[in-house]
Amino acid sequence: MKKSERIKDKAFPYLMCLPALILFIVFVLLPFFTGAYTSFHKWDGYGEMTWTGLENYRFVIEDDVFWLAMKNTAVYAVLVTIVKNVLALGLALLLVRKTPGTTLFRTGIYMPVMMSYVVIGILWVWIYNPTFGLLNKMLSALGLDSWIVGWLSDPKYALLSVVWVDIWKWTGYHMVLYAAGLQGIPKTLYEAAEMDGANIWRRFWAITVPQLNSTIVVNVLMSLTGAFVSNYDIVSIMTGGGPFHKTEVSLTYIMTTAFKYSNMGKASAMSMLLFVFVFVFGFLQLRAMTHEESYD
Amino acid sequence: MKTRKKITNILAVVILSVFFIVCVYPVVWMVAGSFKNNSEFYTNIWGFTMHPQFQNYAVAWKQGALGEKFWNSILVTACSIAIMIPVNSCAAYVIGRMEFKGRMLIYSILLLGIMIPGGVLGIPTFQVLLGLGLNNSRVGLILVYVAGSIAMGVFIMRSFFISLPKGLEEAAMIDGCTRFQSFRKIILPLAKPGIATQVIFSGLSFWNEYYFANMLLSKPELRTLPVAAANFIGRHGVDYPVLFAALTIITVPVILLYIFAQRGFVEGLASGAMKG
Amino acid sequence: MKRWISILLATVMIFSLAGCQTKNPGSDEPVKTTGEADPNTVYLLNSVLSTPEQEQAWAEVLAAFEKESGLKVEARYQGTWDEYPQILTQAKIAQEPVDVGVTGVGLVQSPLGPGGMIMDMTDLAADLTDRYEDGVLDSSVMGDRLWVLPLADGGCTCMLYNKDLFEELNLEVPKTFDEIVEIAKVIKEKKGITPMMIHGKDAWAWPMMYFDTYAQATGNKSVENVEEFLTGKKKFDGQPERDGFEYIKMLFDEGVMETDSFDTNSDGMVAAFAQEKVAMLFTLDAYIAYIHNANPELNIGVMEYPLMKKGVRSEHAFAVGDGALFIPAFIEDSRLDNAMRLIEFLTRPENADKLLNCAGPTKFRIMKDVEPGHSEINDALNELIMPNTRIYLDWLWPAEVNDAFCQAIPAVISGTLTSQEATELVQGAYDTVVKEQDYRYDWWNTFTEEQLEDITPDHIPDLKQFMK
Repeated sequence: MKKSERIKDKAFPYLMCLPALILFIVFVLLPFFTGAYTSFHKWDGYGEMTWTGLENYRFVIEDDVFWLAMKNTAVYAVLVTIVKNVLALGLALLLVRKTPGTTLFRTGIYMPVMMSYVVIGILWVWIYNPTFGLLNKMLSALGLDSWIVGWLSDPKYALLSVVWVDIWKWTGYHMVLYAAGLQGIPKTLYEAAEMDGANIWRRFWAITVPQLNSTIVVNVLMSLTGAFVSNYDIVSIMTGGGPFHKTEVSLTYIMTTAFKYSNMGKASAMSMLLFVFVFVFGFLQLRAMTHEESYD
Repeated sequence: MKTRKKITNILAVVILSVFFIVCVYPVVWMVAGSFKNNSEFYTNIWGFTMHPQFQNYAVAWKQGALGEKFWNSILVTACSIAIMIPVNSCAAYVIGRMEFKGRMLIYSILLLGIMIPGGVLGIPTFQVLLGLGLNNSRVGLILVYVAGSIAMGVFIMRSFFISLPKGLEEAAMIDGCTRFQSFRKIILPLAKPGIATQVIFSGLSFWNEYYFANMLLSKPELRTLPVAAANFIGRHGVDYPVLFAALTIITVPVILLYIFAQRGFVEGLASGAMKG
Repeated sequence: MKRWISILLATVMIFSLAGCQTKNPGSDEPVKTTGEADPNTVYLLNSVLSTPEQEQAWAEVLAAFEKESGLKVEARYQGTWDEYPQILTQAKIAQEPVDVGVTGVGLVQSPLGPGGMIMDMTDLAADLTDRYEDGVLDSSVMGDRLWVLPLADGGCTCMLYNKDLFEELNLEVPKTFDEIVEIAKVIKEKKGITPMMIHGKDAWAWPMMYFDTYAQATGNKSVENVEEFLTGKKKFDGQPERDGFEYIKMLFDEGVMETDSFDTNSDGMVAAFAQEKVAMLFTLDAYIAYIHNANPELNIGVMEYPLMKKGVRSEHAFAVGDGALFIPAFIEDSRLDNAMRLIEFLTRPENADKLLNCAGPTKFRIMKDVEPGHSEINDALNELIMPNTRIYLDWLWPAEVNDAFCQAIPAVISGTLTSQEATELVQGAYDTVVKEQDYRYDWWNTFTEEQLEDITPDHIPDLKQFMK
């Protein structure tokens, strides 16, 4: 009796992990390893696979567009991570001031998160439109005609224009998370600091930031990895990677290679390399930001 | 002192209002577009229509068979959420609050999911489902969705579990609970905000997911709303007002749900302190 | 605890319910998930039909077929046109029966043909080719073999202009480069709008312009040249290749076109033209209908690409095949007869008429006994385009090469690349496909014995017995 209970006790954590592990291994890792296997073959996605060893990796490494896409992805990731989080935290700080209409603002700013990419694509491409676009109209009305540029076609601005749409879409989500985190900080901490004469900046750095640590980690990780592994929709509807690959990110290039060029082997090799980069990036970020987070 | 506070408050409202407009206008634009006729859609782009075309909704509903698709989307999303919550919570709980061999290994394996780029995994996923005889079934799609949510879900839930005070379940176990009961009765309710975060984030992505839904379900009667909406898009052009009507039908329930749920969600978040 | 279990139970129940639906062969499903195909059923795989009229027309014609033949038809509509290869592949992997497919002809050259996915129809459809107008099947024949039978309206690249505006300003339709430059000046001066536009934000629009300029630059030898280029007989680096780029750049340099073309997609183009904010367009004929919907009052005229060099008027890029019937290579031989019987039925004039004209009357005469719709603009299109056509070049060259054009043309216009560098980019894209994917233009010559067996029909069903 006792013994079986002990076994039960020992098995408990493993049993609890089992469903997640099984699902994850079968539906994520297995396809992933199939992809890894594909990356060593020449395959168009339809016919027979031919083993080519590391050939695909050589093609990828020699491919300038891939490196350009990786560079753009890194720029994209850094930009969206910083702006989304700063903006979201700023808005959240304004929200918790309990100004009138808090609920309304919180709901409204969350709207883009819920909108379909189809609408977002048509809307923003038209806002940026040179003939009847809202943005140029507004600039003209403000007398800023000289600011008008080809928002999605000028190599200098195209990536920024796309990044902005990504920021616009997801800031509301991060804002809600930050607002929740802020409300969880005990008021007494602030009161005590105020008594000690700490000013608003001091209070922000000494209380808000450390108290929000886990929220910040979640948000930064989400926006960072999101820019690597899930920004395909936004980039493809906004520019499809053009002009001249100036907005090409790794995911758009992978999807183009896989489905437009029917080069599954090379696309898989790119995915594997991308995975390695994200792995290193994500690992460093987690390491850097979670040093004090441990249950023990 | 008081006037300063007033001024900053006004400033806050102004900044929030600007963002509010930038974020809400698209929804208004979508709804306005769904009432236009084809000609107005292209010629009266930013304004409202004087002659609302209510039949756009009837056309969208009938042409896309949206009634059936609605039910499918609800079924798939609800089931995915219902499975996702226990699966992720259980794993996150033991990883976050128990000491056992291989804990970090399991956690690391699950975390890999955040870093795997999607897209090219489509065909391999299809082959796996085929091997299990789950192609062309909702079950397959739901399992793929749940599996996709595990990495982020476990990560979020774990950070909530860690933030709870130590020894909570030990106290409960002294009172005669089993370990699982203490998890279920004491710990899980305290982690409600984590669950809410997952539900809102993953639920929304399940609801809007197109790629796998289109690929894995070939039978029309199983298809979900985003697939139905995509079918409105022709090769060279689109009947935008009807498409927008369909998209409004898809989006509005989610918005309403969020408006109703957000009060509880935000309060829930506030009560469970999030700390490192 | 109880609630916990009950939630789980409920979930399991819902699952098993959902599972039953798919596993139970007794229920009336449109598609069977196992490999057992019913010998008296023909399985049709098409992309999703986007209008109710199309759905209606297909339903009617298929019902008529069932009535006449006593066979059943299981029609399945999945995905958009460009997802078709993937969906067909899935059906093959899952061993779901597909007897007749409907896809775009543009997908035959890549990836369906080289992938060995479709059957050689030369002999199978020998009795049916008479039903088509001369030249219509050109784009369906590759390597002297017929792969598909088109069942769609033709399409072409063309230039449109705002007739009302031209009349108001008393302008003649420009025929040469000098004339269009003059006209552009007038339009800009009098109206302050962009004279001409292309929907260049859709990257695929740019190569369409090159079809015309390259045809002019080569003295209408563009198809032959591209074939030589794609078979490696010739490098893509001559004067005509560079001129193809230069002829586009000239329109921008002289102010006929402006940078707004870079940021405008097809919807934006339709809107701008409908709002009379642009006077001329370079586009596909398919957008005429959308412009007409957006502004029914507007009178639209059709014109040719202006003559950039003395003496060589370009042929018009034209093709038939947004939809085309084919037989998958993985079909069982015993099923060929019924499959061909359905194809025979669908291409019969009275049925083809329904399927072709369901989304509004067709513009071009595709089949001998199917009358196209007549309207001022349709007649103008037929008169202008039909006598003098050539296939789309992007149906010949691989996607990688096409993308090189998509990137290079705007880069040449904005001065980022010289036309010399642009041709090098194109050549580089071709070299890459050859190196990385063993690309062969003449994929029909590369099949192994085994593959050849798959794509060659074992027997040729006699269709004469069904034909009236």
